[in-house]
Amino acid sequence: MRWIFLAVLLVSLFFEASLLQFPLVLAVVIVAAAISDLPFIFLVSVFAGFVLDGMTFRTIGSTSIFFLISLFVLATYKRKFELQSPFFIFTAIFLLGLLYNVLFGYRFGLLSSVVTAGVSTFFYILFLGRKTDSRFLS
Amino acid sequence: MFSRQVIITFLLLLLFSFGVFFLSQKQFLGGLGFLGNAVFPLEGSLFSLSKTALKLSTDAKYQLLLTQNRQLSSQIASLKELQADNKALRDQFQTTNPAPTTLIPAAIIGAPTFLPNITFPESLIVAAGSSDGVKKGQAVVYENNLIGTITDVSSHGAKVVLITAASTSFTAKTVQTGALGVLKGTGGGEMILDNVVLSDQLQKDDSVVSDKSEPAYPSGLVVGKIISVDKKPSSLFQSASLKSLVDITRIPMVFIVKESN
Repeated sequence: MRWIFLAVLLVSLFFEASLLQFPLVLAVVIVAAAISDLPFIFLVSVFAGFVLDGMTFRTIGSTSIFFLISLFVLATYKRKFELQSPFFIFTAIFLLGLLYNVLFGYRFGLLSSVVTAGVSTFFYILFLGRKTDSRFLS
Repeated sequence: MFSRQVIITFLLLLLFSFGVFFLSQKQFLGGLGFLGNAVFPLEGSLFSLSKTALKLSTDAKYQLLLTQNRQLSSQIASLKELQADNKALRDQFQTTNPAPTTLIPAAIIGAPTFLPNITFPESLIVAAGSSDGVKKGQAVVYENNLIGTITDVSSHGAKVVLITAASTSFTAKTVQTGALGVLKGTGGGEMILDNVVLSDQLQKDDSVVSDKSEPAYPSGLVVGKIISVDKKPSSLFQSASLKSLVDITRIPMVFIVKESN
């Protein structure tokens, strides 16, 4: 299953860097963080951030720092909220996506956050739903 | 709350990311040239594939043909891409200003802010970098039309901010009447020629070119055509709306001017 996640991450990486300025990679790592073990997602998100920065001519490391802090903040809510609920996934992607768009100067920030959150949640419900457990990506 | 493993991984990776961030800011990493080596060819292929796919999906006839003969269509698409590249190169090398010897051809491999038929790109990513002689601040052209400026360079890629981007501002003049003004990008693929004194004349359909007083660009490069004039007798200045003569979303490559005259 890890390979599927990495493939989806790679595709979203190339789409975000070359065509759509939507926070696609952020959405993928948030969904993965909700269903998988954190150390692995931390590691993958850092390297995905490096590649994304390299491709979009941002200062290398800036996206990785954002991803890491976002995932850590999300994980702190793991006890308080049901992290795997579609509502939480939608809210997290929308809010963090909005912040990401503002910080990295993406245009149509609100629209792209709503679209990304909506599409990601739709695919999450469709393919992963509530059947996942913490061993999903292990 | 968290296991020790999670906290240690998080802190180590955060420290590592901050280290890379500061090194990158101090230009120690050189834009991570090896990343460019690996990802730019892939990025270019994906960009042209998505462009072809999005273009074809808007046309029902193409869509039908695509489903009937997918293999043949993809062959035609790649042949057409080669033809477009050849045409662009041939056209560019027939243009005398800027001189072909001062140009670096660069394929467009990304347009991050571009959504076909919805938004107009603000910037492009091109497959030519410092290893090809590209430097920050160089002008980017297509034939004798000014396209934009290089703002970031890595070893195998560069970012071009288009003249239509909201951050662009430089001196330009009209061809027929010689009216001088400040050209500003408005963001949506259009520009305005602002701060033109009322005594100067602005005409619809007049071409606007870069002025020789502008150090950032070679002079005489076509910027666009006037589509409307806004002149009020009570104002100090008049302005005109411009449209670029080049549809940036349809060209396969651009050319970077090595030296400005």
